[in-house]
Amino acid sequence: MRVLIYIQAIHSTRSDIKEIILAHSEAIQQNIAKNSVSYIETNIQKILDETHDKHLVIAFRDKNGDIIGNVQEWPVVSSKPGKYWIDFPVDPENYVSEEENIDDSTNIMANVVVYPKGRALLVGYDLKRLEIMKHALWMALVVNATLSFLAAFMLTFLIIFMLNRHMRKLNITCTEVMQGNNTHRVKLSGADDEFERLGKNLNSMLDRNAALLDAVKESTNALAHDMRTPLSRLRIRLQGIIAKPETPVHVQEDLAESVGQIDKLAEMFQNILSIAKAESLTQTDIFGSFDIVAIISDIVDFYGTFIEDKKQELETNIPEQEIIFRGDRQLIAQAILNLLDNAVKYTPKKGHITVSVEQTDDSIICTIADSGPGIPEEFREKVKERFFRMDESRSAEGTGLGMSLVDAVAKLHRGELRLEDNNPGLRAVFVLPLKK
Amino acid sequence: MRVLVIEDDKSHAEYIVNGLKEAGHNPDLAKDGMDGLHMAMEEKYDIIIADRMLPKLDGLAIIQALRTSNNKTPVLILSSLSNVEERIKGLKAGGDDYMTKPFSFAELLARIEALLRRNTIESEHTVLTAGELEMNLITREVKRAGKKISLQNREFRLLEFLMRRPNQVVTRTMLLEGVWDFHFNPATNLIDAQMSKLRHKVDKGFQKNIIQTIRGAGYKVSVE
Repeated sequence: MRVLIYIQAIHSTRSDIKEIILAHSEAIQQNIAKNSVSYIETNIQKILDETHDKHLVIAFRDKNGDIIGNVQEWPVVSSKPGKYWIDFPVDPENYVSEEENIDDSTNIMANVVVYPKGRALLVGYDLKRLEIMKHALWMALVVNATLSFLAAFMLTFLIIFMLNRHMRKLNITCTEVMQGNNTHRVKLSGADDEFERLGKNLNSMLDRNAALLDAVKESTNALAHDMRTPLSRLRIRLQGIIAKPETPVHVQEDLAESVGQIDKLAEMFQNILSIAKAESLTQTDIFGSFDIVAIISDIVDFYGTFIEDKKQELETNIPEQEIIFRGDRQLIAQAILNLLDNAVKYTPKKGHITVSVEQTDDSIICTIADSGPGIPEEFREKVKERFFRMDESRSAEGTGLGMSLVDAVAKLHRGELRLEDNNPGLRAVFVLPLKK
Repeated sequence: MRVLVIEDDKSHAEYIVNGLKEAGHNPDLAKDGMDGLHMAMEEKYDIIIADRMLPKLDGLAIIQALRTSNNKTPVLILSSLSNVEERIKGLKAGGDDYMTKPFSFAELLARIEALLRRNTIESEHTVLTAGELEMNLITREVKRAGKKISLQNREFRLLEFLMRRPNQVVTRTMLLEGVWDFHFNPATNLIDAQMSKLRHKVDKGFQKNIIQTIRGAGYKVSVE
C-alpha cells in the first residue's frame, strides 16, 4: 500500500513538472511566434528571473549551434522539427543554477521544441528536487515500515513472553510433581483470567492426585500387614511343630518343605509390593545418588559362581570409572539382577552372556545379551505384564514377576526396557536417562 | 542375656519367647506399647525386640522415647512393612536392626547375637586372623598355615565379612545385606553356592573346618 502511494506520489510529481515545463514552453513559443527568434535570445534571462523557480531550465540553440540560457549542454535529440521529451544528465559546470550546493551532476527533464534550420527551444526542470523528494519519501516509507515492523515484532515478542511465563508456571508445577514433589502447586496470582482458572484446576487435580497416592500408600501398608501376619503365624506354627522332639523326622521334613513354600509366597508378595510401589511413583522421595557402574559390576560378580558352574562364557564391557546416577538403588539393583538372572537361567551350559554398560550424552544403557532361546517377538511386550508366563501350564520355577519389575523400575526412572532379538537369544536393553 | 519382647500377637509372642528361652536367654514380654516402654525404662535389658505395629504406642515411638531419654539399649524392629522407606524410618528413629515377617527364628537369633556381641572387628586392622587363616586387607592376600589361597573377589568379600565376626552365626540375609547391600531377596541359594566354593578353598585338606555351616541358620568362622 505504502509502495503504491509512493509510486503515485513520484508519478504525480513528474506529471506536475511536465505541466510546468509545458506551460512555460507554450508561453515562450507563443512569444517566439509573435516576435521572432531574436526575442528569446535577448530576453531569456529576463524570463528566467521572472519565473522565480530555481529549478527551471530554459535554453535556446541558434542556427549556429550556440546555446544561450542557463544550461550549456544540449541533449541528444532528433534534428527533425518537432517536440520531444527527454531526460538528460548535466554537468554542474554547464549548469548555472541558483541552487546553492550543486556539486553533483543532475538530471534535467526537458521538453525540446526543434525549429527548422537547427534552432531549438529547451524548457526543462532540474530533477534534483524530484530526486530529493523521492529520497525523502523513500526514507519516510522505509522508516515507517521499519517502525511498524519493529512495533509488531516487539508486540509479538511481548505476547509470546507473557504466554510463556504463564505456561512456564504451569509446566514447572507439572514437572515438579512428576518428579515426586507431590506438594508442589501452581502459584495463583489472583487475576481473573483463563490462566488463573487453569492454574486452579491443575491444583485441584494435584490435590486429588496426592490424596489418591496417600490412600494407595495407606492401603498398601495395611494390605502388607494383613497378608503377612497370618503368613507369619502359619510359619511360626509349622516351625513350632518341627521343633517338637516328638515330631517324627519324615514329618519334620515335610513341614520344612511347607515352610519353604511359605517363604516363596512371602517373596512373591514382596515382589508384587515392589512393583506396585515402583508404579505408583511414590518412591522418588527416597531417590539417592550412587555409582551405577559399581552396582552392575557387583551383580555380575555376584553371579560369577553360577556362570562358572554352568561353564557359560561371560563377556563384559563395563567402564572403569564411576557413573553417578540418581535413583532408587535397591530397585535398580534388583532390576539388573533380574535381567542377569534370566540370562544365566535360560542360557544353556557353555552358552554366551554379554553385559555392557554404555554412557551417552543423556543416558546410561545397560545391555544384557544371552545365547539362550530368546523371547518370540509376539511375547516381548506381554512378558512385561505381571504373572505372564510363556509356558501355559505355568509349571516352571519363577513367578512371572521378574520382567514386570524391571519394566516398572525402568519407567519409574523415566527410562525403558527394550527386549530385542540377539540372534540367537535375548538382548535386554535397559535405558536410564541421566538427569541434566 | 536379658531380652525384652514387645509384641501384641499371641502366637508371635509365644514363639519368640520360647525360642529365646531355649537359646539360653532370659526373656520378658510386654503386650502393648505403653507397657513395653515402661518396662524398658524401668529395667535394664541387653536387647529389645519390638514389633512395629503395637496397640497404644507403636514401635517407632518407643524407640524415639528411649533415645530421647538417652537409653542406648539396642533395639531390633520386627515388622510386616518391608519397604525401604519403612526400614530407613526405623533406623533413623534409633533402631539398630530391622526384620520383616514372616521370619525364621534362626535369623532372629543370629541378628540378636550380632547386636549383643557388637564385636565386629573394626576397620583399622589391616590383617584379620582366624586361627591359622590370615587375610591381609591391603595386599588382598589370604593364607592358611602360610600357604596362599587364591580367591575370587566375591569370595574375598564374603570371607572378610565372616572373619570380622568370629564365632558368630551369619545368616544368608546378613551376607546379602552386609556384603552386597542387597535389601531384597535374590536367590539365596547363590550365596550357598558361593560359600560352598569358598569353604572348599579354605578348608579342603585341613583337619579343622574354619568355615562352618550352621544348619537352618547360616555360616560362621570358628576360632578357638
